[in-house]
Amino acid sequence: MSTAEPIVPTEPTAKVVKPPGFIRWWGFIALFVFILLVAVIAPLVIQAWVKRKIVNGLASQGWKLADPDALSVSVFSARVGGEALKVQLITTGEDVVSMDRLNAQLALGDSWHLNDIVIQELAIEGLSGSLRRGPDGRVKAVEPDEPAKPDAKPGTPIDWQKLYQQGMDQYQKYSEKKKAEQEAAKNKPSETTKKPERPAPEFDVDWPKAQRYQPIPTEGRHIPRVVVRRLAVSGKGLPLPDESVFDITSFALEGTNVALRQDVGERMTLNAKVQTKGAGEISLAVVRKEDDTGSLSFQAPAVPLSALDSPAIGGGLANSGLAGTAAVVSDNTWTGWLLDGDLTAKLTGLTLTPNANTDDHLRQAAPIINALKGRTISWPVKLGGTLVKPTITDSGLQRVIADNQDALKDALKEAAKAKLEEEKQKALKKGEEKLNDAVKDQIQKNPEAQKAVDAGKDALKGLFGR
Amino acid sequence: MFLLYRLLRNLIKALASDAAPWQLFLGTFLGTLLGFLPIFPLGYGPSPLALILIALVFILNVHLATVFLFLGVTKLLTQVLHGPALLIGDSLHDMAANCADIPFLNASLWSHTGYLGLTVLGFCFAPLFAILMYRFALYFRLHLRDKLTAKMKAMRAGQIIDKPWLVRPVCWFFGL
Repeated sequence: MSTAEPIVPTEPTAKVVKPPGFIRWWGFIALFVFILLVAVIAPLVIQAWVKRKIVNGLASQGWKLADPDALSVSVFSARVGGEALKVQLITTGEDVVSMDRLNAQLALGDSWHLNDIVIQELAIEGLSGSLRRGPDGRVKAVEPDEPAKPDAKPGTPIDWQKLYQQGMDQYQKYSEKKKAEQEAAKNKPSETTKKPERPAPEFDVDWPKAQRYQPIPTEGRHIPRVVVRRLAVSGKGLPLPDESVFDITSFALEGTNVALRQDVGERMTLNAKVQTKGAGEISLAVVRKEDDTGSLSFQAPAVPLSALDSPAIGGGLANSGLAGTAAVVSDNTWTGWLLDGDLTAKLTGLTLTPNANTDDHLRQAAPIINALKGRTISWPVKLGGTLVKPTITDSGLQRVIADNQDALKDALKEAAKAKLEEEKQKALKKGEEKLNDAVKDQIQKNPEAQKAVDAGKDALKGLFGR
Repeated sequence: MFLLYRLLRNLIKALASDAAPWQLFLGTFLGTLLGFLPIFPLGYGPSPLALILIALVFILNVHLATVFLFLGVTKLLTQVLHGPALLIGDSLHDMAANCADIPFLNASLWSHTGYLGLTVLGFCFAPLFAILMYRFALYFRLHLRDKLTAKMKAMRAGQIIDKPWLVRPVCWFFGL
């Protein structure tokens, strides 16, 4: 490489030019100003766009933000937040949901790296709303555009089983798809040790014959998913579609790695504590692992059994005059679809007051149950079957009988005595009626006896002046 | 065309200007590279590598006219090099596939066989053009410029010189 001088003066008098510096400072400043301008303009443009997306998303559900300015979107910190947010129905302006504070923080690095939507934190404080059914049978908050349901008047039983079934059907669909993928991978043993397959390259319409290769998808999934790394939601109140003691007065929900589809080695936890209007605190803990195993614990230490008297809640147990409290504890685990669980209910002060609408079986059981005089009964039930269709594998009745043998004996004796007394009274009444009929018959057949009766009646008339 | 002419004139003036040869070298290098690299192909979005190079063009004290000239010229050149670029890209399909797994290179379209071929061509031509430019700048300043200046002075003094019809426009063109 030549080391010649950069400038060769043409004349001896030519001035010596200072060698140029390596950095163009005006370019540096111009670039800095440009970035600064982008930084100033981006929030105005992109944030407004994101906000409009959110507002349009709500509008598609028939909802609107009461005060759109309360919602803040920050592009640089990848955050959506807000204070005193209220979501209302577009049609009537009724409040659907309100929250004191919202903070949704996107994990940009993870989202980029995993090709997912990774929400680092989703925190909602002071969430409140209403799921109460209106006079026309609709739950306005979730089905504002649905036609009125005249057959779903207040008090119509909520089909919890149907709701559970719908959720499980969705989960089953996903799980079956995942299993099919795993089976397909197993059937190709030579490929299991290799990386997942690269998708076929795409051809470029603007450049025929050129093709673009696609990245190898992350092991175990091919479609971006939404995952919440830390979930914290606390609320003030959430009335359920039908008024009952289970109406939620406050709740707290915490979770980690909350996602429908889990990544390899991921562990999802979800803990909920719910304060109800009349059923005390109910807690729920779910742990779910990517290998299709998990556990679910449920505790409701003070459920008033009178709540089950309502057809909307109790179903077949309704109208039985149930009284007492139940402390329910349930621990369940699942592997694949197979469920293995225990449900123990401690029933205290249990009594039944059947009426005309009470189920026949309950009416028959009422004397025995009432004869127990509200003593505490521990009722362990074994659950099994599958997650989609849980079944009771052991009703625990034998255990209840064994634990309460003496009391049940007394109760049965009492019931038998009562039954005997009832039968005795019935027989006596029947005998008396038969005797009366026989006497009447004899009197009608015998004219002498008839005369004596008539004479007696006349005597009585004379005596009382009638 | 007028713009191209202006750019070309600016470049040639640069040879006689105060721009240091290394500025011309870097300007040619970056301009050629930017010409061959995809910057913002429709349907793919901006290439991060190209954006970094553009930022470097403004931050480093390179000769801007040289950059724009070579960028324009090589952009035109790439239109006729699609075939060879595709041949090169196809022969490097393993590299393209591996680049697809590196987000930065994937976004810079190194996973696209056509653009990868052009990028490889860019990395071959850029140093070549830059060295040629550097050598020509030195040659012009050390040998050609003094001769042309002397001939121009002689012409102005009324002396008869060889090929005056050539010296005059060349001096005008170089801004001497």
